[in-house]
Amino acid sequence: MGKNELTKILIVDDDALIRDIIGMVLEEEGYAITKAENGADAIKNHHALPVDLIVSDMNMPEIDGLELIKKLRSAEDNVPVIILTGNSEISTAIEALNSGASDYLLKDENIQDTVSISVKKVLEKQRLEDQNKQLIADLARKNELLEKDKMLAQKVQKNILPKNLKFSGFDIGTFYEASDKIGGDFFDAWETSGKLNIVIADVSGHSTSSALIMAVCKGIIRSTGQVSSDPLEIVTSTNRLLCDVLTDSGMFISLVYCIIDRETNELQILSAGHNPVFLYNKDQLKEIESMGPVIGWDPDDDWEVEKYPFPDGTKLFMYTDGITEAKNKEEEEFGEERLKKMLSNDLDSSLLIEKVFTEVKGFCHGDFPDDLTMLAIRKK
Amino acid sequence: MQITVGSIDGEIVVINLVGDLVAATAEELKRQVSKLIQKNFNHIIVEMGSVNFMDSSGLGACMAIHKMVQEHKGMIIYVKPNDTVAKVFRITRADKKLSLLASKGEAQQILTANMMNGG
Repeated sequence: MGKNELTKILIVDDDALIRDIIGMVLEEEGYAITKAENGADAIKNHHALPVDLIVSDMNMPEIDGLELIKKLRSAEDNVPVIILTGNSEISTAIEALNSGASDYLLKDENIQDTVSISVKKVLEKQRLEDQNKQLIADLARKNELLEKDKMLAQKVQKNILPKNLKFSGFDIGTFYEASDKIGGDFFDAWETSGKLNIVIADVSGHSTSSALIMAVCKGIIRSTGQVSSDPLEIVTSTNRLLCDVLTDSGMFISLVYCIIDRETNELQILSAGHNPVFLYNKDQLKEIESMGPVIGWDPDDDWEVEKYPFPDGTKLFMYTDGITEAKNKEEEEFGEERLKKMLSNDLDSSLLIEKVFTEVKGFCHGDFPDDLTMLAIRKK
Repeated sequence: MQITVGSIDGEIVVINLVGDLVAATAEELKRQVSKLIQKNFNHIIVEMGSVNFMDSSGLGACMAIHKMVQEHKGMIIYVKPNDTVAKVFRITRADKKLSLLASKGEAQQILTANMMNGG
């Protein structure tokens, strides 16, 4: 079987001799040939048995070559058409091509060669166009599946984070938004034996792998935090476990682990490579800097733990760098100074978080390149 | 970001970075260094002076290539990060784990000495 045998070509011409010559040439090339002697028959034949290509004469009674193309296109049939004509005027060629012909050939002594080359060229172009359409359709379908999957992952991730946090004697506010549905930030807070455990963390990047590490890290922190009340022990063992997971990827997590003791009114805080944490009390703003490296790089890393009094009215504000690195149109960052100024008023934690978000959103016109997380807690 | 790879005396590789070192470019940097290591070039200077901004993915790449090179007994030195980038190295304590220097000449001396000691 010839390689072109499955390719069907319809030859349309009112001149039987031309039909036969072209038919013979193309049959020799291995194409399956059908013939029609006018435009009306051509449409009828093509409807009954669709072909891959039509080679049609320009001038025919009733339905001519151009009319044939118009009828096909108005029926949304994009079968390629090669027009043959005895007229060597350039205007006829332009008219044929503008009407949607794939090629235009002069019926001269070279017609046997030119038709063979043109058919090959037009069929190859058609094959590439079809392949292109198929690839675009495949891509659109895959994108749609990916988007659906991301939406589902976003729901799952939101459910991983705690909701409606309440601790008697404290007001607490939280905010979380991933830059692209899923992200690498998280926060958590829970109480065991009179001690409030509060965590905020930022996994490097904000891709799917960041989201996976976020879920693993939150699980490890929570389970370690349930059995220990020493921030250093909790962070050290979380680091060791995560180094096994992250190996040499270079990925890391910056986090802050806090314990507020109700009995002693004391805050223990460990910041592993995280942005400053703000502690505000009686008009005094304390900026607590990181006390050691981020976690996930070296299982032998070590940290300091700092302690601060946490009497009534004390407010703790933690955030991830998506807040301070949000940029305005002039490429200027929101920065820590603007943030610090907002902390001085004595708002309820939820209202404070809402106010900071509104301010940052206004500053960068809602264009957040990174995940955003905030957590504020105030002792009433 | 533009990543240009050159060399000093055909032995020390110099990677010049221009622009923002963020997620997409971080992956490209890792790919380039991985290729260099395959060809046994594992003494590398990374010129950071023209990096305007580095996010956590960028820092992750700096740490990943540092570990890759170390595993092959090589050394990577980051030269002249600007204040914004230096702050990221400092807060995360990456400055304690990576080799950061203020001049390319000094980096070249250290790498040459390391190579002579069989590194």
